[in-house]
Amino acid sequence: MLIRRFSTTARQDGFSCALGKAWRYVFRRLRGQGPSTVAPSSDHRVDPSALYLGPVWQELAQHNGFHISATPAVLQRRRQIALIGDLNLPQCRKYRVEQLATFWQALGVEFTYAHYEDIPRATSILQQATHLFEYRLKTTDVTQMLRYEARRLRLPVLYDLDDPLFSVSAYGTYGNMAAVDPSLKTHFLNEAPKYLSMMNGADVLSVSTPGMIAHTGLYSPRPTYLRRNFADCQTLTNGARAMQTDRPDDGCFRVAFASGSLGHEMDLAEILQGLSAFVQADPKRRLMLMGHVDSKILPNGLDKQIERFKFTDYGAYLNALACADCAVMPLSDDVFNGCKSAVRVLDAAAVAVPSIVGSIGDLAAVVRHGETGLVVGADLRWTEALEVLAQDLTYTRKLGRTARKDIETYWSGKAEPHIISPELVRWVEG
Amino acid sequence: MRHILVANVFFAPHSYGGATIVAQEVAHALIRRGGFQVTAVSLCCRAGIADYAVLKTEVDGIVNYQINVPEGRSYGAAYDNPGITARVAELIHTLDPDLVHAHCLQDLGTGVITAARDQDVPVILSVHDFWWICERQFMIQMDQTYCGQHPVKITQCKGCVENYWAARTRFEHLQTMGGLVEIVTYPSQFAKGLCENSGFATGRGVVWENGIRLPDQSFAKKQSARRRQDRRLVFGFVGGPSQIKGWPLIKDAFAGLSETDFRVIVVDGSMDGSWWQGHDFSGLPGEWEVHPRFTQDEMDGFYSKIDVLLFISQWKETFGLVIREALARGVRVIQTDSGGSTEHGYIAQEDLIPIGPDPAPLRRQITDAIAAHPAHMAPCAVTDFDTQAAALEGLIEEALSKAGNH
Repeated sequence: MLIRRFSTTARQDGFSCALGKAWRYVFRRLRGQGPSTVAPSSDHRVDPSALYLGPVWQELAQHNGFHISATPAVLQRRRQIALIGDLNLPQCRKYRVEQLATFWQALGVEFTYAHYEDIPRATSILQQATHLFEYRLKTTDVTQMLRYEARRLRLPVLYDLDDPLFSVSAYGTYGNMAAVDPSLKTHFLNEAPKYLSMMNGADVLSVSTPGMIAHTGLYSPRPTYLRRNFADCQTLTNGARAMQTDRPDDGCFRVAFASGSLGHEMDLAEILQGLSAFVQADPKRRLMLMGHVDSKILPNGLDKQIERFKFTDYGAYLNALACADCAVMPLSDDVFNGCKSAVRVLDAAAVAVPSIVGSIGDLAAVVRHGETGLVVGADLRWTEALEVLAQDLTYTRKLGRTARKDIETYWSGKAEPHIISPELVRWVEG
Repeated sequence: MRHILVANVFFAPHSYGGATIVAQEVAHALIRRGGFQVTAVSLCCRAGIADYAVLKTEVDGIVNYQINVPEGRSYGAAYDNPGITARVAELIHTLDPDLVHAHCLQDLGTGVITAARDQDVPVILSVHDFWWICERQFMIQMDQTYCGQHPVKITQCKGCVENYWAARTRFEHLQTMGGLVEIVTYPSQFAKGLCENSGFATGRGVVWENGIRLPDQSFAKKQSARRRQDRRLVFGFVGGPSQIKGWPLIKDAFAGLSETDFRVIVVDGSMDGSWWQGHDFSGLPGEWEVHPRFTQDEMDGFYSKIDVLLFISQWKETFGLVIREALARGVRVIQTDSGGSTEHGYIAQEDLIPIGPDPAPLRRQITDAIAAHPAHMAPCAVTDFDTQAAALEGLIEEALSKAGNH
């Protein structure tokens, strides 16, 4: 049959044509490929300088298939959020991305996410989405391409942020910048306009604290909603597991200070003198330094009462934190810290450790003074607060247990106004 | 509002082939009837985009999700492709359609059916050619002759298929899948009979006749203006220079004619205008012209230029859209006895040209047509897309009822 076909083709279309067809057939068979009706796109060359979606857009436009006429949320019964973000920082990823998945799924909303540099996945999750959430993105060719695709698909866009990365006034006065290489500060200042540009291209904004809302209002006219970080299932489960580990049976009182990124030495410096004095006043006291803390700032003689814990994964961090009797979270008084959320308080409460916090940022919102922790201020200094807890361990344990209960009931991921603005829930569900 | 997800290997903005036209036009007609939302899923093959990435596009109000397939897929992937199945399952989950219309599944694969069933979405399967019972899709053998099996027995396919055991696995898989849908539609009694007799989805089939686009109001005026301008008889041929579409027969039939006062227009249906490139008609009598591929919107323009359509297919087709399009416009048809393409009933059995290599019967009918000219035919009543969509609406309700989702 093959020979008959070859000779017919050779007779009708010429020998070279028949030879070409025969070669293509043999080549396909040798490679184990099956016949297909789907031919490659005529514009099959890839221009390396083109955006990933550039040739597709061009082709769709040429075939009158570029525009989507209706917002998907209008036509679809389901809601599906696609989140594209910078997922490089583990803490940010946990609190602003991963915990949202269970939150929205509990409301019947699908939630998928992608790192913005995973372009195929980021592009793909947009196609079936009804809403786009962007997290911590700045303007680049890639983020602009993804935003452009979202607009082509007529997706409403929300931009989410938990640090004032857009703010020159915040970075310009951020005390912690004094502890890092000056070039890093210059870098952040240079990047700020790129974040603001991205924010202002969105329809609405969500941020993590009331302080952040107020500061964002100085830069952006977009509606800005609150979405606080909360204690998600992972936090509660890992915390409960960490609480099962035995505390050291050495009779020591442990104060924990945790730092998830560079520069927090300046925050620690706010209370370091009093804290050192408190620790050194009793050989049975320990200072637990967790994560990034430069030893150079520590006073002489404190070394033997310091316990160091390297920056680690979340489970190991909670295991270590569970050994503390209390946690301190000082913040220097500047605009940047005024936007800070209470994630460290949530972490400590997850392992039933009470926190001592100041009035900067949103930390005090999560602490019920005298019931789940202590809020220092004019009436109570840091060292006094530490002494209160060190002197009465029964009281300290009770604060910790109540703090744990508080995050299980009040600070878990429920769609309540202190966690998420009702307007934001309506923006997705409406 | 019923939401229908139509799965078709091609769909606008990348349309190709008669079945795609039917899928698109019926979708629009359903929407026009009211109470229906239609979304499509189809395939594309683009370099530079991730394999199995989904791209959303829309033409004339119908959203189409294109799944990007890689080149050089395996034999098995042409009928069951896990990459496509996963994407389709996601789409069904997201879109939550009331029903999946599996219209033309070649290359999409039967995962469309299983993905729908897994999510309790009923399926209507539409068979348009012989893909479900023949790996070569049209029952045309390697040597370009019609297979002729009736019923098809896979054991008889040895010597034609690429790998018998692979073909048998495919055949049995597709038979199983055919049994999983609520309703199977065929465009003609012939197609239904052949498939069911071959063991495919026996007892689930109905004939769901294809529609066509009827002529616009201005067509008759356009047609008579052309006939006044040039009184010669014009033959039309929509197809490539292949044996299976009857080109060698047409060439032989015309070559033996003594008459010369007529025109022939051949249509290049290829995407790139390559079908008739380099063909020399100078040895044939009459005036010959190659007409570019035309869209549904341009169809009247083509049919107004011809008086007689030549449909000399050398295999048993399942429907034959162009025949109905011609008849609806008062264009006479000379055709072979080609399966479902004859079921319009406007040509007497004795006038159907037997499939085979003898050019004499065709030459005789061409000569008669030239001799009788001008003998213009009145337009025939032919099913249109609105009527076809109305029939589909009934089938949808029946399928939903069968699936218990009424």
